[in-house]
Amino acid sequence: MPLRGDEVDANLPFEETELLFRRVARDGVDDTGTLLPSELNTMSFDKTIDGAPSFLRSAFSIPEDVLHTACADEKDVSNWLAYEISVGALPSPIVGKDNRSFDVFPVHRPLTQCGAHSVIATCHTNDSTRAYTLPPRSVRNDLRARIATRLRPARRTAVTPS
Amino acid sequence: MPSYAARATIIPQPRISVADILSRMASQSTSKLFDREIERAYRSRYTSQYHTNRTRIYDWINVLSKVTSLKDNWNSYGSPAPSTVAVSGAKEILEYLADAVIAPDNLKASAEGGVAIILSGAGKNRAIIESLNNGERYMLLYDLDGGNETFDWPAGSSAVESIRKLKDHLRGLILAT
Repeated sequence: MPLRGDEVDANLPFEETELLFRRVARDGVDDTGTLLPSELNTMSFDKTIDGAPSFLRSAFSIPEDVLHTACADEKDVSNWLAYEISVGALPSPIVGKDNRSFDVFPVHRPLTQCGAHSVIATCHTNDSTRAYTLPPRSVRNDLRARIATRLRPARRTAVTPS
Repeated sequence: MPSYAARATIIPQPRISVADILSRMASQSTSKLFDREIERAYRSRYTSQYHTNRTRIYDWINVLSKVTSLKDNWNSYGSPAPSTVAVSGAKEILEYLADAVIAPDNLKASAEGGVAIILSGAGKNRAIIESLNNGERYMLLYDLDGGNETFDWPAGSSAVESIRKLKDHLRGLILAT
């Protein structure tokens, strides 16, 4: 059962080696098992930070948690796949066609039912406030393509008999 | 009693002999004849591919109608369902691809809100053309090492340049980035 929002420390910083988990539909990968960039959203219904690509941080979750209804808006995603990427593998910075540079970093955004919920945010490079900024299309696609090709199938947690 | 045996009929044959063929060939250089045969074979293959592809495109247009039945949050990540604007844009792009004899691998809803046409090419080269709900259309050329480039997909006949870039990429051209 995934940890709830009140069971996690939202101020715990991310380590470079920490993993970020994401569920992937079985038809969302190509013939090599690589995630299709079109499966990653850079925003959903709004342009706020909560519309950014969503992941679970490994400090408070295991890969199986991404397939739990509590972390999938109550949808049955039990037949989906769990993929992972390390924080250090996030592509950052990304420079757009207009030469503007964006830093890419994870932000912990615990939800009531899913305490490990995090998003991959972007801000202008050298912005000391790290305020979330929605980058232009070329940067967003660059981000999608690089994350999609760096995500790997998650190593499942071994189930030990109780 | 009627006879059902095949009648021996004489079918008139054109008056052409091996000697005639050889003499005709002698009037043209061998390389010219070779080139002509290659061109004929290529044209025939292209025509065949064109018709096959056009037939397949109608299959993808049928898939498009299934994509329209998706609801908001179809992927549990808050993505909007494809709109009619996105679907009609995707249909137009599919027509262009059919004319250019480029067959998609797959067609899916895009997590960005819209329709994604998925293509794979030589080696690690891949491409996605997205027609989004806000009317935006673009082509993402990428490879499995993460190299990528985004181009707008213009409406109308100016898509010719996009088709050329797409073909080059699918043939295996290495991305500049």
